[in-house]
Amino acid sequence: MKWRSWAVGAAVAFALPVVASAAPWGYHDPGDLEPNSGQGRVDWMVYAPGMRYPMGNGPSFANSQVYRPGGSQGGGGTQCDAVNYDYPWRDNYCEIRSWDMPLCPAGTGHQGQDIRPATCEKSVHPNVATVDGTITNIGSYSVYLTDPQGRRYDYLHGDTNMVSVGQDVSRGDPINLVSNAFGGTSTTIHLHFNLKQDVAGYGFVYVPPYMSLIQAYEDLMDLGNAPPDGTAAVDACEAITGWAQDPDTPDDPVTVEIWFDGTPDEPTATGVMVLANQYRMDLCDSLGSCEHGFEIDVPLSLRDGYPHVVHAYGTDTEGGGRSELPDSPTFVDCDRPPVPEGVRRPLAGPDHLAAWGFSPFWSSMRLSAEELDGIETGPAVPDTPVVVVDEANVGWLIDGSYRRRIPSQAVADAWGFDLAAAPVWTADELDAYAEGTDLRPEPILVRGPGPVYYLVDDPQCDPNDPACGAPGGSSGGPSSDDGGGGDGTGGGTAGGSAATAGLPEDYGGDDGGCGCRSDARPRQPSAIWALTLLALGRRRRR
Amino acid sequence: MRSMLRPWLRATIAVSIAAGTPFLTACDRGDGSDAQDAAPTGTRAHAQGVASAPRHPRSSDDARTVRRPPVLGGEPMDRAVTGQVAAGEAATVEAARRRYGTDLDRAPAPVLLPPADSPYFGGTLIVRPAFWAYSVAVEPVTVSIQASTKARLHTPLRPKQPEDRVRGVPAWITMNEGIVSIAWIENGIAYTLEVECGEPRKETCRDDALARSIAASLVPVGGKGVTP
Repeated sequence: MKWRSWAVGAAVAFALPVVASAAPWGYHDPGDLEPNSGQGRVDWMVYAPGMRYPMGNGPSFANSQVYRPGGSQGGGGTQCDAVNYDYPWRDNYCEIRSWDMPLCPAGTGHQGQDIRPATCEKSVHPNVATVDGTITNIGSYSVYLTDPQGRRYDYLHGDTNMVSVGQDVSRGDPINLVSNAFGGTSTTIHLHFNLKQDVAGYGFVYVPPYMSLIQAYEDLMDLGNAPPDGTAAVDACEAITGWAQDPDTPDDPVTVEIWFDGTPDEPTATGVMVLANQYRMDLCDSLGSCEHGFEIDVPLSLRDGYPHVVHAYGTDTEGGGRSELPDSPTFVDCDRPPVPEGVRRPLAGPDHLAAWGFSPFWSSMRLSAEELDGIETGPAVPDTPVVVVDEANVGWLIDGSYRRRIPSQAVADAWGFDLAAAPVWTADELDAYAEGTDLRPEPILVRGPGPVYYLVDDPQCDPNDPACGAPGGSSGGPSSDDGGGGDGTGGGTAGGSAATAGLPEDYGGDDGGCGCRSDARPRQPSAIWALTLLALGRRRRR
Repeated sequence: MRSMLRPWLRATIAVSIAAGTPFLTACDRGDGSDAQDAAPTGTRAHAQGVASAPRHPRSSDDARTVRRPPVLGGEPMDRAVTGQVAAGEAATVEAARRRYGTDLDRAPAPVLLPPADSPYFGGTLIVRPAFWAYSVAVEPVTVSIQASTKARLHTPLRPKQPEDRVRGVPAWITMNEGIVSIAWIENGIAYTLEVECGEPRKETCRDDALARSIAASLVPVGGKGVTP
């Protein structure tokens, strides 16, 4: 096995003063910190896919500097103890600290990952650029590297800097040497590595680096053996399906990465990760093991009438990084489906999308300016979703002055709503809102040439609004059969009956074309909002 | 937790300084004895070693079929300047114009710099299509400011609101390895400011006061969205 020979080689090469790894490569799960060192974040997301490993070479050892021998909470020993220079790796993002950390379960914690170099020596082992980018700051013990997308990679505690502020660097270029620099004092010999990103809904925050480091390390060290086998194919523009299996561990599921519009090292590419663990009867005989299938949707944003290349990779279960599956790449080449009828409700930007959990990649269509103009504009989507359940356990979305039924758990899932965590509202509380249309089966977003995304939704109206209840009223919504050809609209009464054209067949059947189903009483908007606030204050958890 | 730790931290610092001993050991500025919730044991953790453990990343939710997994690294989304951003006081704007020239015009977001009469004025300004960054070193302090116009949308992450505020808006204020970091969203743009102190024992390096004061003093001097 390749990884075994690598481990032996490392042991010989770093005999002294190196403490070489004795165990085979492996790692604890993300969020599984050293005992009694705090609550980690269980997060398998790779926040910096495709980055290079930040140390020039291996082996190296990601683990806590505080809760291991030689650390202040390590129970004795020295930082050079062999146990610190061995696998498995261990996450220490969110390890106990007093510092605010919005992504840590405790709200505070350690912002990055500590990594020891191959040997317990300072000023020997190089740190290198993880990406092409620019050195944007150098402090007395830190170097910040920023990639063209604005994502930052922080290297702390190094010395012998080989870069300067403003310098452009290429992936793999030397940055400095791993050391123990820490201002006026010193720390253990290690690299403290941060990922800092502009996260929608948060701003510039430290995100978990652990899985990104693991992926980069496996790519660097190439510890695997026989690469995974498998397939990936586009199935009728509805799904991308396939299977993957690692012949060295034939019963284990394989992680598959699917990259659209490029390979992982291309900044324009978009990747997702899925576990090939679905049961497929057809695999049982051919592979000798059945649970190796995977299936994902074809992203709506890529169903645009243009071909998109799709690369599929299997990840070696024994640490060998990614291997492209034999019949990859393939292509998605699908026409855009019809644009749903309705109104378009603006979303204010990334933070607003984050509040709703909307994914433009999975759920958006690109329209021409004419098409977009052909869709009547509706009210802005509320800043955040307010989801409640009634006493019969039916879910409702509070949407402005309307309550809208969430017709099934599947719909709740499609919208990302957690009904189990929703507060229970009484009938009186819910009755303060006019009943609107049922929530659509899934959110569909549209975008014109500009940056603004819109949610395509049912128009809502109060049955007591004279403009609402006139069956057969003037045309308002888009009229075309593809969701809004260039001239299909115009000037209809807002919320008029034509707006129902894109709604389900059972929509509004008892109220004359209005987007409401109830006998909701007239209400003043201010009173409704006051009731909203009151109800929110009174909400209770189940 | 925070309220319990911070007094402890202050006391530790005071005692350590009084004793003339380094109070920083292996990045630790917290209290390891302070019991948080028990650390979770990962479902695939392997206390006995790694022989039987998986060695590869898993999907974030492998217990059920995931047809629309989150985008690796998040979905890139453009931030746009919202509202009116008026240029700040004239002396700083003019000084910045003299020093940085057309870089200001190329900046993709409002450039916020320390006032011209601040010791932290006059650093290096780096402008790229998706961000700008500013760095200045005034011994023993290094100040870094950065603005981003490219957010990453991680759909599993629902927004949180910080409790602190700077510049009239909510802000995350944290300390990272002795580096105070403030992050906020202003006029739709994400900013971060870091203050790193090369001499942790100095008065100005002990808390977030310096970083807060620098953040509060920042002046819009140009860049996209700033009106004269």
